[in-house]
Amino acid sequence: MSSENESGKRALSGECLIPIIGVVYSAYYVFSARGMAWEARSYSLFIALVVLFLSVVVVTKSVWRRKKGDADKMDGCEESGVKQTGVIAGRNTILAVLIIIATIVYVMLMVHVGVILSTLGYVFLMIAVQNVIKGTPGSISLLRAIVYSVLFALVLYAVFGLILEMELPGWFLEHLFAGLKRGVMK
Amino acid sequence: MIDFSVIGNAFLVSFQYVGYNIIGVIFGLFLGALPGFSSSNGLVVVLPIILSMEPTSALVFMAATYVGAEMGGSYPAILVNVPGGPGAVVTGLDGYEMAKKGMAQQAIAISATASALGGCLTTVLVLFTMPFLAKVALKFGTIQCFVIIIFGVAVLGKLGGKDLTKGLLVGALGLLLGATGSDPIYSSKRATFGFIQLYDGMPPIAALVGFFGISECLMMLEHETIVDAGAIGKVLREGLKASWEGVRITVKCWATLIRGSIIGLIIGIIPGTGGAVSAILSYQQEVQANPGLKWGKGEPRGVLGPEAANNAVVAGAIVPTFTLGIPGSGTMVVILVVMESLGLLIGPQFMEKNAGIAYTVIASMLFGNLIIFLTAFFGAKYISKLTIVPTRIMIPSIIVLSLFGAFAPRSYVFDIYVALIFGILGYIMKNYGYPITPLILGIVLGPYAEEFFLRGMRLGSGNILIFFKDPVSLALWVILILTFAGSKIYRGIRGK
Repeated sequence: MSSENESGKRALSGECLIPIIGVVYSAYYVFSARGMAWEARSYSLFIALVVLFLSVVVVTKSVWRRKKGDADKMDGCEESGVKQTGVIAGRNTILAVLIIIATIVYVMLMVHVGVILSTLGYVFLMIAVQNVIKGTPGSISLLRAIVYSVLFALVLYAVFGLILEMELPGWFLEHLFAGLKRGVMK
Repeated sequence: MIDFSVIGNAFLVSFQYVGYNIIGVIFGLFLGALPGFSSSNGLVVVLPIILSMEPTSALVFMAATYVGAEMGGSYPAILVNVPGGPGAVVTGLDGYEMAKKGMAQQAIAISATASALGGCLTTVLVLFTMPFLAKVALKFGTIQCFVIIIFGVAVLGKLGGKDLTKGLLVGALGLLLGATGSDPIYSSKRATFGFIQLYDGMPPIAALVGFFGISECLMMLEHETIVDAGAIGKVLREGLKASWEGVRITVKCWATLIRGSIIGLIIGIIPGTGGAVSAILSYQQEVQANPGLKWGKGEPRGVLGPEAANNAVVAGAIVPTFTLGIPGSGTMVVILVVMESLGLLIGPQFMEKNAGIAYTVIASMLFGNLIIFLTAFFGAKYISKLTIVPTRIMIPSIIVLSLFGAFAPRSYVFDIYVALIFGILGYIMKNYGYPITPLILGIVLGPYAEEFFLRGMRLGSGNILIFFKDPVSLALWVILILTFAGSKIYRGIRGK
């Protein structure tokens, strides 16, 4: 019973998160536009009021449902493939958090070690982490993970860096390939 | 007066440019499939090559790239629920659901057939009615454009999920996020959190890849493959029969195809709207016309209508560009710049002096659409296998591609972090039953909505009633009300 109550609470707080973000952002928006000419504020003020109104409606509906004892049922959640409480399985939550942290580290590293090495490391690490946490079956062999990571990083750089000529962070490998390209073009 | 001999000659001459068409379409498909790349920024990359071509070849190549890119965006939308661009956002609603059921090949074939037939139909219409369509384009001004955008976002709020208030809330929040940064009149900076990178507004591509790409990857953790486990065998066995089935469905649903094409054509000729709006309106029309179908659960018409519409936009966008010198979309801006650089006259004089070039470019788009169809028809079998690749490999790959997509338009690392934040937000939204599509379209169309609103207010001397006065906008408001309350009104009348 207490675990049901707990999951209901979590569902309610999760469902109210977006309206809260909406209200906070609208308030910040209106605050940041204070003192500006009417034209710079009119549209946003109008939309902010709509956001505020709809946020109140969504929160009221959620609280009302919880009071009626239907807290576990959330409108619009049916097709997302997760439980009606909005709480996904613990193992995957850990994985999701790990992926987000690893992605932030990847972006920070990319600036220093270049696209190729950082992407190679990131893709390999992500496959390995999923293998460890999710386990078998469906596990990707170490050799396959290494080969795929190397190929993916090289193709990625070739498409974005060499063909589409994006300004990508580079280290020695990128400089090497850029030099090769210049040589071929000559 | 239309000179039919010029049109006839253009058909013949366009055969000479098939090579440029093939290269253009393939380049466009490639660009469209990459999140963050569109035909406009792709064409900019190859601008030095384009400027070295003679005018007709350059224009044929660019039009083919545009056609290919509009179709290319639907591939990732169907296969991994990451639209290549805003025009393909709606395609993913049903296309991805089809892919999950092991019907990706069929969905791609529907998308390609609808794009090709929709494109051909509207191209022929444009060839014969261009002067008339140019007059229609002039009927749509600031006020009508504003109403169309609000209409589109609100309708998607209703159609995007089960809960109407949640859909409308995220749609409105999207419009507000879209109005971040400089205002269109005084350039006052609003809600920038002190970041210079937000002065130009919320980066729409970062939002797109964050909400769709990154959040979808986090959702994928629940599964071992995109396709439901039971459907893997079906994907592996599928031959060309599934592509034929897609073609058959498209031809069978000819009414959806025609409706989508006409909507795309009309939206295309209105500057400042584009593929996303046409796809939403087409989807809305289909839901209204067939309320009993399982929308958002893998309904083929949900792919067919929007795809016919977003490809028909290309033919429509050509009209104001060639006849009035007003670009109908971002890609048309690039085309206008190239036209000027190649010494062609811009504006109404272009059709007077260069009618032959104009009609040749339009006629060549028929070949472009044919190439799209052939490429997808024979390629769908292989592309659809992507849905059975283990998610352990797909997740890091899609995340990296999404991050590159966010980085591509402006080369700011800041945009990558924006994509990550939106990815986390999207993950929360999906877990708690909030639809993503209205939010992203709000962000994409928000700057336009604000600009049209402010211009409208100026035209009406500050009176908001100006948005309800003329027949076109009034009709749109009435349709919007009927969309939301039509069934209740109908039940009320029948109840009495």
